Amino acid sequence: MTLPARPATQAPVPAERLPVETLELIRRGVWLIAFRDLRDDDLANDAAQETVARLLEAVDRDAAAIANPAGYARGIARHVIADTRAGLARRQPIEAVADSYAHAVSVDPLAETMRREERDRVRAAFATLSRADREVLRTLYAGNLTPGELASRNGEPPERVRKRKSRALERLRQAFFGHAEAPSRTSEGTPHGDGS
Amino acid sequence: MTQQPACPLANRDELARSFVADALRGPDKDAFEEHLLGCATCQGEVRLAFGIRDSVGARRPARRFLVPASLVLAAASVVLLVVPNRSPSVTDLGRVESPPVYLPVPVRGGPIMAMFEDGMRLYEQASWAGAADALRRAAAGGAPTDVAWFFAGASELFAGRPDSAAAAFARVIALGEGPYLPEARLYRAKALLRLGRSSEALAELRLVPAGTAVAGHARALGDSLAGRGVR
Repeated sequence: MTLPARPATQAPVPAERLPVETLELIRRGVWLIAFRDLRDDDLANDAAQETVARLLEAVDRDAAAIANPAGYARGIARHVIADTRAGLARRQPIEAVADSYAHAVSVDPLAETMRREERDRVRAAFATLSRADREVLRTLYAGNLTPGELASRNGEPPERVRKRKSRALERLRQAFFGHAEAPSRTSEGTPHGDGS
Repeated sequence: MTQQPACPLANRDELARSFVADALRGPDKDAFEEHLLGCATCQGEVRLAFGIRDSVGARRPARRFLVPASLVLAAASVVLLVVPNRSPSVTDLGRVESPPVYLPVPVRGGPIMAMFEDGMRLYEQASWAGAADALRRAAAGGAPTDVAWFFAGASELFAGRPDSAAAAFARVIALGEGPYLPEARLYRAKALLRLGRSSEALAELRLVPAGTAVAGHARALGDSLAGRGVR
């Protein structure tokens, strides 16, 4: 899997002219990274807010030095997430262990924090897929295989797996976004729909 | 409202899938995460990928911090039982001769980490039941989750509780991509074999990725099961 050396979705915006929409986009992106790494909605929110706050502080100090705000923000985010991880164990009181154990064995953090209606829409759409399509997605997403690896494993032409995956994803996108393509405007809802 | 430029990434769905599985590495990871902070389209794809993982029953990827990168499992510690002059039963194939090796490194403190270290001390002393209990509580309290659940599962195996072991390894597997995932699949298969659930064991073995340290063991064991008619 390869990416362009520096994806060119946006030309870097000089930090002194950072629009609110760009800051919000950065905050949502940091939230996704932090949610993946920390598995906690509140911690991800805190990390995203902290990252944006530090970015703005840096802009206030020396905006001209920040040629690429998204890259700069990601660097901040990595430190914030690492600090959060390191502090998790230290902050956990020993008295909480028994309770948190009982909680952890019965609750899926993702199911708990995922925006409910988004999750339900995806699940409902997933249920309408053919068995073969569901199985392809299950193997790719739960088994973490690429379409090529799955095709090789099943002895199928890779193109067949890719087509099946594309067809299934398009149906899920319809359910998730209300249209076939992912949103391209910053006015979409927040990652978890809590208005934060 | 600001109209964003079109996303130039043709393979964004694959990148999103890999992102949520925490399977991107090196420059790909750096580039995509930076891109993600400026691309609403890819943010939507990532949210969808989280939703798909939820729908297919996968869980969050492993939380990696403090210890795991420095821990090394000795894959060779998994030994298939070979009994001279007798073909081992399917249940015998689930036997594990030696516990996975844990190589400790200094870690930052806190009560949970102390509990984790206590668990690993008990593990090294072959106090399996105590180790399993401490490691489960440490995992629940925030210790490096994949490591703690993995060694909790190994402790359960040696404590003679394959059902609890299978459940603990399933926790590691449910965390998704991580350094302990291939080993967890192998050992879960072993636990399932001890329970007589050979078909499930074979299915788990087939999910051990090629090219990993335990892939050879998994394949040999899978072939052995298939040779006994397990499907």
